[in-house]
Amino acid sequence: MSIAMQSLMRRLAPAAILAAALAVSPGARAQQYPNQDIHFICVFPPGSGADVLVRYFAEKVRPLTGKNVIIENRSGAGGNIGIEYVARAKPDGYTVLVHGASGVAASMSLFKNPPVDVGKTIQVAATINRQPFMVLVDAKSPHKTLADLTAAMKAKGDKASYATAAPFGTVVGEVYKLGAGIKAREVTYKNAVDSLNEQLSGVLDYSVHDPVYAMAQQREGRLRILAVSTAERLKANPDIPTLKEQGVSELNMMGWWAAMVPAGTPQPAIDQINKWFMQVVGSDETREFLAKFGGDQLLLDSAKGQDLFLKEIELWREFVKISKIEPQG
Amino acid sequence: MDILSNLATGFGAAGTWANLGFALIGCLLGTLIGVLPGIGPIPTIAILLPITYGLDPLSSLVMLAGIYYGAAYGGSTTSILVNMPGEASSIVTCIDGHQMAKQGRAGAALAVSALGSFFAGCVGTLFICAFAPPLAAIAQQFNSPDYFSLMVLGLVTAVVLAHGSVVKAIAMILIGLLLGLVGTDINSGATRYTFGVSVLWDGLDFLPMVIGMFGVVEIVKNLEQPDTHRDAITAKFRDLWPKVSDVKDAWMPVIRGTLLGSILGILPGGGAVLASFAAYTVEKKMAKDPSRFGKGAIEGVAAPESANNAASQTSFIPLLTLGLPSNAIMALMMGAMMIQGIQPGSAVMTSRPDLFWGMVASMWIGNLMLVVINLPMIGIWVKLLSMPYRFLYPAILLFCVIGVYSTNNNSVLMLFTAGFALFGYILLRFDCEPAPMILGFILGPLMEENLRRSLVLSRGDPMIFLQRPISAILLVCTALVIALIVLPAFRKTREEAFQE
Repeated sequence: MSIAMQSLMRRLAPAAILAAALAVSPGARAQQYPNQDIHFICVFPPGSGADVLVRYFAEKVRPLTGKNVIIENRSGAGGNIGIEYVARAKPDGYTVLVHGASGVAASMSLFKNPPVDVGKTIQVAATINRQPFMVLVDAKSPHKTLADLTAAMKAKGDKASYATAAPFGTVVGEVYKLGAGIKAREVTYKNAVDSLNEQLSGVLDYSVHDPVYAMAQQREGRLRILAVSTAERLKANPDIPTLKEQGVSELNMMGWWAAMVPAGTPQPAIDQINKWFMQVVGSDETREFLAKFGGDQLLLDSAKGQDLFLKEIELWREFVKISKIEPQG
Repeated sequence: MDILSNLATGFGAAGTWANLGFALIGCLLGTLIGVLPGIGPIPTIAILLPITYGLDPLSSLVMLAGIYYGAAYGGSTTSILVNMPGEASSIVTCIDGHQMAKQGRAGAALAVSALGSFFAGCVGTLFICAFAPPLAAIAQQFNSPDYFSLMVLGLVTAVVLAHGSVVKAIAMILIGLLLGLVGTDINSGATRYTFGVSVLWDGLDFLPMVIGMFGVVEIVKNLEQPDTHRDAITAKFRDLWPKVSDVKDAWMPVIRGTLLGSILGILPGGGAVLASFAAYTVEKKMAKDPSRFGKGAIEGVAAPESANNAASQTSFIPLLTLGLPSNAIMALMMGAMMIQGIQPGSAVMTSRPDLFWGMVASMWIGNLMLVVINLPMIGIWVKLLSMPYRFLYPAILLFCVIGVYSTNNNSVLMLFTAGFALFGYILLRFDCEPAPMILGFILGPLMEENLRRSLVLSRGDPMIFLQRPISAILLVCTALVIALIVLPAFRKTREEAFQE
């Protein structure tokens, strides 16, 4: 140790003792984390649907932390840039990825060379919501139930077409086709809304889209939701049957959001983040907010959240195999 | 009355203090950059795009639109006073406007140009009210094949209306199409031209491209030219109001210019520049004594100034109803809307009527503001012209850099910006206009997506493009436009039109 270093240590010693003393008192323990600004990472650009969600939670969590919560948008490469950034960030609890954990898990299967092994480098601190994908038909169509649609599609054979706009939609679409024994052709869109004109003009027989779009279109009376992809019905829309109930599939295809941190983050920080999110997500206001997007609250402790995450990674390997999605990259 | 209730919605949305404030900021900024030669609305809107992230969508569009037509106003001021067009759309105004100023009629020229522009702005706003809803109704019938044919028509017309050589315009569009291919293909999930770089998986970013090619290049271009002596006319401002005889001479050209501009603005590829040239040519052809033109004919100010403003307004119609940007500025506005999560197109009118009509209303408000701002502030704008560029340009460059970096805190984007700036400069040296490239870049991916989707839906049968009536009509129009390009007679007139 150099002389300069030693003198520095000497000068710091009283401060260290003071800090140690404070750490013993129970009131001060909570002050250890957080003692600086917290960064929420959003992997989509500002103004996107995901950004809205991240901003909502940043607003709600901020007053609980007593620190500032800063949103950083690190978009690109289907979310991989942001995921990689968090995986490589310092594991101190100040970098929190607020994103679809199902999407993070899926990245291991959707890309040929995923930049990081998310199961080893990312840890779930708190869970936020769960939401299904939805099977939709034109509101004017005669198909009132999924059974009606299945029967009609069987008759139409490979002349039938359906729309998807996300890998999740592709998976649910493929699972439905396999389970129901139909041969419809998938037509991919960049955004769900791009498929609306074609669906309303009858060129498309049905579509498999995210709940935000599906709920809005049903509310405006343009489309009708026939089924959700989760194994159980959701509280947000209890009268919509599941694919499982209709005997199409046993799988629980569910999108879920979480607050995630780099692996190796100290447990006290993880517990603190979990506590904040439990409080925010558990509120009535958040329940209503999430229901607007067709989802339910998901309240798990960090260990259960991490379990779900690791299972999700395996589940996606299966999904990708079933739906024959070609990994990118 | 539908139009009235729609406009009421619009004025309600645009009339909030915040939005009025943004309209004012936009108009002031627009006038400012219009007055300053060298910095046009395209780089300004490009540079300001990142700022709009934090704003609410209507406020950001109101501000950007304000810049757009504010620039058209400001540009005419310097054209008349200093014989230096701040904007491409006011190049023709120089011809007679500056002559008028030299004869001591600067006030009259400025007033006619401002009032003519205001009149044109009002008519343009009404035009949007009248034509946007029926066009949007048609747009709701559009399926993938129709969109494909529409994009083809848009790109082909862009060739006709681009300045300079046809071959270069086609080349630029093709480069734009190629750049648009970079990224993940939505049909197969394959990545194209990404060279294993994950930043490219979502395609090239729009912002580094436009800021590099317009913002930075504009500065480089201006640095190449030494500060020219600016011959400002500051005296003789006492008679701001035109004489009765001026008004008599000007009102018909104003109406003609407005109508011409309104129509040309709607056409894909059209816009303010073309409208002003066309209006000037028409006035010259119609005049009893064409020799007066170039020597201070008031018609030569009134008609093009009205036309460029009317066209500025109506060029929003294809964007807002069909999602088709008709020129580079509209492509930027489209980018701004997409950044806000709004897919431009007929859906905007039904899903966000407050946004759509609010924007229409703000155009009228903006025009009114411009008249009020401009007439008393002319003296200040002229003073600004003497600001040394060695302060101005570094400041602009700084804003460019901050703007790009703040979008997703990724320093790779800086490299892209620099790369595009270099590329843009090379294009400039070869006299290639970057605007068609931007159109190709924006429309190309949409075109490909719709082409392939149509073929999936038809199970590979290309006749789908002729079987759907909308698509068939659009393709016939495309064929006609191509015929026009090939016809030698047309090529000659096109060259003449751009030479004046």
